[in-house]
Amino acid sequence: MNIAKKVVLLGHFGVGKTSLVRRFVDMAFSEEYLVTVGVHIKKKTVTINGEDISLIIWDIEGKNNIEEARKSYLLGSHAFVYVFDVSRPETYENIESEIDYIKEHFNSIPYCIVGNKADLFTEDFSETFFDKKVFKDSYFTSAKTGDNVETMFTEIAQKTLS
Amino acid sequence: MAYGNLKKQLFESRVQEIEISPKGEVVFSDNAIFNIPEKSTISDFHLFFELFPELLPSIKESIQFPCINIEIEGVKKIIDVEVIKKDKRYFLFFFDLTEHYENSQPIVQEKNEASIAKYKLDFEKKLLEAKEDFKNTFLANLNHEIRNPLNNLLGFLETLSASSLSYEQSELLKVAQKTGMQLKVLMEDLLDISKIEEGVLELKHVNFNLSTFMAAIYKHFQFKYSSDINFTVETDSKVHTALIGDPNRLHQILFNLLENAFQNTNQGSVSLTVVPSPKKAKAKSETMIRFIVKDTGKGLAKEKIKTVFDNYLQLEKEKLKPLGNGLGLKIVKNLVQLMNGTVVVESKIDVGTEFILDIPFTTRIPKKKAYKTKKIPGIYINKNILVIEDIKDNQMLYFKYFLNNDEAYIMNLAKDAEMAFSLLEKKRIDVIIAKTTIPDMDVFSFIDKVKEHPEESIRKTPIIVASGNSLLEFQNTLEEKEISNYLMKPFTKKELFKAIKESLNQ
Repeated sequence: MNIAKKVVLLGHFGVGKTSLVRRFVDMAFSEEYLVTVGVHIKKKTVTINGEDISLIIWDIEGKNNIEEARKSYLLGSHAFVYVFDVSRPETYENIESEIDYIKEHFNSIPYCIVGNKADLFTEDFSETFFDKKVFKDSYFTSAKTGDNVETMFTEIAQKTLS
Repeated sequence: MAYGNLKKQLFESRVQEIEISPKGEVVFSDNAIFNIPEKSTISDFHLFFELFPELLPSIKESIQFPCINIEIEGVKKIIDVEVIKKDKRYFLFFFDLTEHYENSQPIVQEKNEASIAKYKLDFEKKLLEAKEDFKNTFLANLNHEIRNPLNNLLGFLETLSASSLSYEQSELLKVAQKTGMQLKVLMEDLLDISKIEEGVLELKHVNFNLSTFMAAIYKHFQFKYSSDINFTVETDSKVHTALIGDPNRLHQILFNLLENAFQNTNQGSVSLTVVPSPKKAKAKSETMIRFIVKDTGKGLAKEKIKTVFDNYLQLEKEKLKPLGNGLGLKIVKNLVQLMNGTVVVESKIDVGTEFILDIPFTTRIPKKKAYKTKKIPGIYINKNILVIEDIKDNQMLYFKYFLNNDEAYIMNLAKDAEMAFSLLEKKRIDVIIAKTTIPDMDVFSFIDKVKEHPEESIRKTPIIVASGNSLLEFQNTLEEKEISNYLMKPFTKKELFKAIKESLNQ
């Protein structure tokens, strides 16, 4: 049986949400930044423990905080992916309150934190920069190289089943 | 055409009405924008509606989904979707706002790009600072690791030079000593760079006389490079010479520039000229002095002038060239900046190079010379020096240093703190030399234990800490514990005995 799960990508503008979806779904990447207006929806099926799961990925326009996001976009979500840009501190400096908002308003819905554009850092510096507790289980991805993108989406798909 | 018809036509072509059942089946569609066949399922129309039937029970009256990007058979539309629940029936309205949203896209794009560019610079700066911190810590640690073996190497070479050697052996030893000293200078340079860049290098403010200082510089280079190169040092009579500042660091700056000048000049001249600077000092109590180091050497190409102070770059690019000047020019720039001064370089290929420095110093009124009474030679009294050292090579080096010394120092060896206290309690010890890593106790606890000892004579014993640890924090902690001297490895016999003498005189 094919199960469909709605996954919404959250985060500031320009952090690479669209690029992550393009890398995951279309195996493609472009350096060019094109702003997302509204929402684009894409689909990809992953297999978890022999079960096919269709991820309906909502790539919504970037906002400085979740409260500014259009509420109707978040209805019926099965998981959230909070994306920030490792090279722009303003995209993660309020991450604790953003995560608190998710926990408060979508208590039972799984989420993950993703530091994108990790190719701009070496591992040593990621550790130095992101040693706060909130980043403990974060994924550091690169839509450009594809690093960790598949893993992140597969693991969030797995979380929607538990 | 009747009034209102056009409006109706425009409106109708941009708004689509669809009715769906609670299970998501299409009951009716006017197909104004998209063709959605009746009896089909709305979930099959587009991904946006994929999970729609699940959502329907939660809708009370209506809900809006603005700005949905939908592409059907190559046609892209941006629509607002409104769902209205009436009498248990669900009505969907699509509003085609493609033009409106597409027009707003460039404005948002521009705004976002400007914001990203603004923060990008901040990030790059932050990343560079983090990399510098990492590099400096790495250098400091590396320095520490190298100092210990280097200390032994130089120490044994020094001891060897005092033994009976043939002419050839003696010459070879001189080369080995010179190479070792170069390594020591390079280590110190690296350390200085990391200290300056970390912002932990503190300048001294001590009285010094510029004339005496310049005379020493002249003597050093005249002696070192007594060749075909004409070397001159001139100080303008208008320059204030009674100064307060850091003569050691000024020496380091001028020493590096002159070394560089001599290294790059095969014939002609090297000069150091000191004149009042045309730049004004910030405070009344200060004077701005200009130092000009000029040579008639090979000069620098235009593109190299920009990177002349960045020796990391030079080391990287000119791998085939021997290190030669070490990291001197980078230190010059960093030190001059630390002293609130400036340095510029002018150079022409095959003509020569000129470094112009403007550095502020505090002025002072010179003191009248006090008459000193001559020291009368006296009788030497043995002094017991307690050395705490557990490594055999290091122990041997101390033995060699203290063997047949003219100062009447007698070395007492303890391999750990326990043995040290046993010796301290048994005999009179005049100075303790402790290492950082005493096997059974860390050096800070050892100092505390000495300073808190019930016997006053032990409490007051001067302590010298000999270490390769160059971290300022470590040295500050030692200073707080009021040790009498800090001996940085590698040290020579002369430096060791000087530290002992100073400690004895305290």
